[in-house]
Amino acid sequence: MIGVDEMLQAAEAARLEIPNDEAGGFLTEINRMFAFVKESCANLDLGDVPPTAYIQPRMNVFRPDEPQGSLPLEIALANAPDEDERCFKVPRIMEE
Amino acid sequence: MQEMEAVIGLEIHVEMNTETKIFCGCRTAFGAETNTQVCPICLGLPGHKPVLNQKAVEWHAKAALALNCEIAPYVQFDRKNYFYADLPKGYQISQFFYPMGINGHVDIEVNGETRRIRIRQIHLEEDTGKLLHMGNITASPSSLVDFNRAGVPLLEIVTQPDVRNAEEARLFLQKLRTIIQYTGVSDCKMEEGSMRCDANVSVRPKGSDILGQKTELKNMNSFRAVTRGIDYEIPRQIDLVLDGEEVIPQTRHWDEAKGVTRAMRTKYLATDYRCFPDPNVPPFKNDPAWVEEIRQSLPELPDARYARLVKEDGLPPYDAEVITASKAMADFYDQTVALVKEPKTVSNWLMGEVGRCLNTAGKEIQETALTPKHLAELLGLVKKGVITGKIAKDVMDEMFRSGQDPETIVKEKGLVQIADQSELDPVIDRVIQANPKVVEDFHAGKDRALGFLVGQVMKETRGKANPQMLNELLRRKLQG
Repeated sequence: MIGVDEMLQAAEAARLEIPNDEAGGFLTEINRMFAFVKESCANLDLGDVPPTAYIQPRMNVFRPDEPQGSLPLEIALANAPDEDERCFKVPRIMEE
Repeated sequence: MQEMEAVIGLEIHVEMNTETKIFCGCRTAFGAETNTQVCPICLGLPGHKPVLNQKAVEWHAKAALALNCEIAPYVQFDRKNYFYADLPKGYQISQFFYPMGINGHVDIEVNGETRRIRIRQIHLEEDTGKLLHMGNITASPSSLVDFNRAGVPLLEIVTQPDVRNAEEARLFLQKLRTIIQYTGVSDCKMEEGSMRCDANVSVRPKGSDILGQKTELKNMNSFRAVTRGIDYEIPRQIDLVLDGEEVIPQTRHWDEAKGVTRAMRTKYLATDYRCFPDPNVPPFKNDPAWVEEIRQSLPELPDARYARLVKEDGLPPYDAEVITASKAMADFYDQTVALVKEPKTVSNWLMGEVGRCLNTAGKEIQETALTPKHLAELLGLVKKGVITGKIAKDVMDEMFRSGQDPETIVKEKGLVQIADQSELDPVIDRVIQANPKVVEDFHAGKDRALGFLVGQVMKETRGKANPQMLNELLRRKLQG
């Protein structure tokens, strides 16, 4: 179970806006999900299962240090919201 | 007033010299036209999976071993989530939970004493894009992003908070740079951004074990900027604490022109990054035999080389320190000594004439046309008496400029030493005749008079007269 402050902190880190009048509803739903996962796990015998981060059992996958082609500039910039001087243009980054 | 001390931990980012990026085949060349070394992987476009560059892993191990780290048996890559304009995916792939290099150290000499700066970890990650500001960073209305740098393999070296002041930080960074340059993993050029240093600075009452709130200083692009930035930040924090105010944990930007640090953004806590294993990059295990192979491939490192130059070559510690500060210089020295077998003479020339030429040209020795073979030949010409030491300096200038061998230069310019009495006699006679007053001074016992006459003969022979022969002949003529 998490509290409203934790939820809003996580939302802020993920750049999600949660309007004040919806916060209560969201919190209830999130906590219901947590409870579901907790309950499901409690009903399973997971004693021998290690924490799992990867779906595929692959390890030591490498490629040689050899150049492949890059994108032409116009393709690279095709999805840029704004561009200038062959660059992606973004709002200033210093905090006020 | 309570005495305060600073506690400083450094985070150094070093770009590797690999041909391609860490997770894709885009080139890493410095100075390429903006956004031309990018592809769907390093731009974070959907549907493309990263594949790890094997060379980056090998070089990571090499650098970690050179910095006395242990190599972890299991390594994984994690996603470090944050939003910033230079980070296309909204996360950086980095070894957050299982870094490859741990528990290393670098020893530095501070006021004649050895200080050990411990290295907590060295992990591998992808570099971010580069923000180009229009005008001043604080005044610019918008920023431009070049993603050529995004995905360049980056080593992050994190020290324990063992550094106490700006001078220690500088000495540590210089030593670190030299060691990494020796391994060949990076050229560590701060001015090109291939080595960057952030400093976590906090202050506390001297002798206390508790760490104060820290700020992270960024944008220090030279050794000088690092020392200036730290020297500014420590008293700023001490003043705050002594005034009973709080140090706000934040990232601060070093403003080189104004000589101040200013708040850039509120510092993230580690948990804010919500790190988790990147499911797209499989983890890897390190075979101890492979680690041993990498260890064996390490070149002789600066400390070992310094010790050898002092012990085996008999160089004074100062010479050994200057020569081993750069691998290229140390290699040049070794190759020249192998040819002429006179370590101190070679060291004198490298630190003297060659150093002067390098300073004037603003170059490193490997960027010039000068070769160990040519330097050895030049020293041979002096030793055999073909040219004088003075002429040798002029020949050095020409070798430096043109890359020609010294014998050709000496022949073409007619610089061969005059060691033939019949050639010197008439010149000496002329000089004696032209300077009766000085000759009188000589007879009156003024030592400087002889020096003046030697100088005149040298002037007439354009420095080519054999100095011993000239001295002897002149003295004989004056006394006879």
